[in-house]
Amino acid sequence: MSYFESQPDWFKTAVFYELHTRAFFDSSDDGMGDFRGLRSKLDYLQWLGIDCIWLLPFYPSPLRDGGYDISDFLSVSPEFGTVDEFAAFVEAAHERGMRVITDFVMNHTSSEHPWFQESRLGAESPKADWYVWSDTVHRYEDARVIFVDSEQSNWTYDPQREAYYWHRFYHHQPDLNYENPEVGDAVLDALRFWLDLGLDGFRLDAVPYLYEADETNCENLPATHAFLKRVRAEVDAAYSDRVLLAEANQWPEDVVDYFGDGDECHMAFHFPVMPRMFMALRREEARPIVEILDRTPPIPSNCQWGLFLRNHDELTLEMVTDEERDYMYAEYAMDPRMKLNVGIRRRLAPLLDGGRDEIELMHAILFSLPGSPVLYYGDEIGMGDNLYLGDRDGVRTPMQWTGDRNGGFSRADFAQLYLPPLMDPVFGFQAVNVEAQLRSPTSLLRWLQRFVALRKEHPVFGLGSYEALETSNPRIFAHLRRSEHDTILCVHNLARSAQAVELDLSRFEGRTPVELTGHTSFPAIGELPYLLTFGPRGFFWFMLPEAGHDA
Amino acid sequence: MRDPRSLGSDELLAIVEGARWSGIKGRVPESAEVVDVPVSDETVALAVVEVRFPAGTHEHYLIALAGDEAVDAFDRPEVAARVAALAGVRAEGASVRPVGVEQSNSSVVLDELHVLKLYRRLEAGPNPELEVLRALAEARFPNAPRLEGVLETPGPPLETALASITALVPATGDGWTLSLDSFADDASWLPDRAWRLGEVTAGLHAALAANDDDPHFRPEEPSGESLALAAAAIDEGIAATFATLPEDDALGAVAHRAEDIRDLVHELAAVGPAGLAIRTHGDYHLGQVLWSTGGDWVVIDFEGEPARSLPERRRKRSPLRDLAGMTRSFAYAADAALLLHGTEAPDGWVEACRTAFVDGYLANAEERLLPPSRVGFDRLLGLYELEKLVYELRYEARNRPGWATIPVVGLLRMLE
Repeated sequence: MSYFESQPDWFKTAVFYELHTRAFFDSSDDGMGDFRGLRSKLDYLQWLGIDCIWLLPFYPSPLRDGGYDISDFLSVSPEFGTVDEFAAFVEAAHERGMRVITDFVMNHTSSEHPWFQESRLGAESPKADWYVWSDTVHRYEDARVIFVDSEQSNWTYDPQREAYYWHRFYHHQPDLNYENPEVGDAVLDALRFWLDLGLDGFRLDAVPYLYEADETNCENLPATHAFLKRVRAEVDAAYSDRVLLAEANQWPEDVVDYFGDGDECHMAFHFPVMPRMFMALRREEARPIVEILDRTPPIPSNCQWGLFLRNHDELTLEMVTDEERDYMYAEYAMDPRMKLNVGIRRRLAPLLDGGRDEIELMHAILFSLPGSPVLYYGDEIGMGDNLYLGDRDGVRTPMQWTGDRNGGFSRADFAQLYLPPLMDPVFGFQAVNVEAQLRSPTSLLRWLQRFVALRKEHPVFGLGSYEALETSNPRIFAHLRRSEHDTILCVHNLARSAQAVELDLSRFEGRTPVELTGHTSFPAIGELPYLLTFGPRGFFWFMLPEAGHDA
Repeated sequence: MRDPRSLGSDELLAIVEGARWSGIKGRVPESAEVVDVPVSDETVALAVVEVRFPAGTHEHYLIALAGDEAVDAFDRPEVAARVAALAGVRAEGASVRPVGVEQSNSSVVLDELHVLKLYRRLEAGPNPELEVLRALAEARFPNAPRLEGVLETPGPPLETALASITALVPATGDGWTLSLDSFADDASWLPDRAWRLGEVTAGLHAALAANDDDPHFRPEEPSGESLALAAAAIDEGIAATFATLPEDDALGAVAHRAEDIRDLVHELAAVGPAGLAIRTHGDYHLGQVLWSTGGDWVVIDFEGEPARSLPERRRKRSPLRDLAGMTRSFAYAADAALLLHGTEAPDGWVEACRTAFVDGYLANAEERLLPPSRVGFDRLLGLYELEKLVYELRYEARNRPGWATIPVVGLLRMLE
């Protein structure tokens, strides 16, 4: 039985929550989180107001890239449980009104995947053409190397096949060859396998790189879009209310191609907006946010942006100018250990020096922008990171449930844990945990729960238009979200000092702004510019009900 | 028969807004539209109405139409008999008698044999009442009505139950009415039966916890933070309630006590192990228990609190939450008798009912469903009573200021 009313655009008003099954809760005392553990924490996520859980990869994997190196698309890595336990988890989430999407990596597999093992046997192997092989490294030379810290080339020599294979990421992640139609069919079969279990969709990892062609940078090629359209058509034909969320770390004008004409991906992440929010905060000016949104083309009405402050990867600085990148490194990555690839590997709270006003302001801006917010596990309590762990493990440490042993994450011996929990005096589990924050009405967690509920009272945040407002003060970011019957004015002070701003709201003359959190009526809007004053990093959201209508 | 889809927004809103099962109260809908007609024949059309609000949210309501008039026709004998037939029960339709004052459904007694219930406020997903009635039947729990038939729709837009039919329980009345009446002649009526009510309630919970094979009913060890989540939700409710409390002399005694009440939540939430979480009645009070002509309690109406969402109503919880609903109902009955009939409950009546009810429950309850210590039991019961009291305060202050003294007195007693 379905637990949801049919609603093809449910994702447009949803609040997403990204988590690692491995990092969330360990029910089997083996030091690693699992699906039974995750299931036992669903009440927490429901309480928080989450609409959709995004799971990082849980497939069998040699774990050389956090599980993005998949060695079997049709199974669950044994430490997480079984396929049946996964399905039970999905149903339990549905029962609580939450949907579930998972990461799916279409571009490549682990080199340990049986497909690759077969492919490398030689040109006579039935799967010889399932990967991109070459006798020379002088093909696709215009394609950049993405993981510049660890890879020198996109080609790696395989002594067994005596040829080079193509990989856009790590050398142990060979790219699948979509020129071979059997590959597309096999990948679609894998998608169907999970959709048949009730899964609500996929976050499609690294989609720009499916196809290669000489004389191009091998990103966003027409053939790649054509394949994604085929995926969408086959999903729509057999299932309802599912979502495809594209991970394409590209400029907005290129990313919008992944929406097609509303016939490709339902959602795509808006990567460049995120570093600009951090830049705006540090520079105390609205311009970086306003500019990137100005630069963002309109998208089809059945599509939505995914927006986030931080995620499981480094804070990517690929989609900024060189100058902006230098600025971001100087401001947010003082310690060289904080840098990774082209980005900064830190969590939200440490990036903002644990500043509560800053964390609230950044969430306010995130929740006010046109798109669906994606929260990263642990950021709701202000968890920190561990710079001494390799790669991106520093932002993937165990969820901090209590001040007890192992942060309440696991009853295994400390040495057995997949990663050590944070134990520093500022962000460690004794200082920062769910249990303590649940008890305190003023905690970040309790504030965020109220704030999620507030956003969900107003679908206009997910559905409405966006219009930046001219302000008399460059430190103020002001904009309108509007639908036919709801108008919300969002005004944020990016400065660390008190500010005043005058806004031209004359077109709303006669309306009385009502502040959303406390339902306080402000002075009516007149002909003259509307004056608002703010404390440091303060913000107001107002309803602007039409005269004669109740708020 | 007029095509329900031809009904205009104003006609639909006129039907839905005026109905006592409407949850729209106080809000101004934007528009309404028929989005599904799961049943349409020469006698009746059942139509799913989507009521839309200016913010962009919507709710679904079920209406029953007959003939060309734009009015709800569920209480007509031929309509009720037809809906019963669609639910799988052949009824003559000789008599139809509306019963109950429900906030999310309409019920009629058909031919003095069946209770036919039309679910009005629709949500996608399993109907908790049907789930529970089936589970109780399977566990052979004798003190609940027998489910005779169901009418469901696969949607779209909603896969949900539209109507159910149960065997009429021959009864002298419900616990609420009989208690209020009893103060005129026999004030010991409820105290004498409260121990048995506790016993039946324990049996109800044992039956709800009996099926380990069904994931929807299997008792579960609550997660470490489950009580803290409940306490946080109660705490937010207190903050919201007191922030919007109207100026009223009757509320004066508690109006400034919000912080004390929030402190009390903390104190009461220190329960230790709370026992297993199970499916519960969810909206348990004296109006939900009938005193049968055979001289025993029969529990009815398993939909849960109408104001809560379906996932909330289906959530597994401590059974003590049901107990708190009932004990608060005792306090209400005593005060309601005075307000409505001018009859007074004798001193100690509420306490006598409460003690007998709790004793009867504890003597028969499964230990695994309870906090292991009496201190833990009392605190958890107190926590849920406090939750009820805050809800009562909010409701009465807004809707029936004259009744607000009931939760005010209850809160002051807990703060002592």
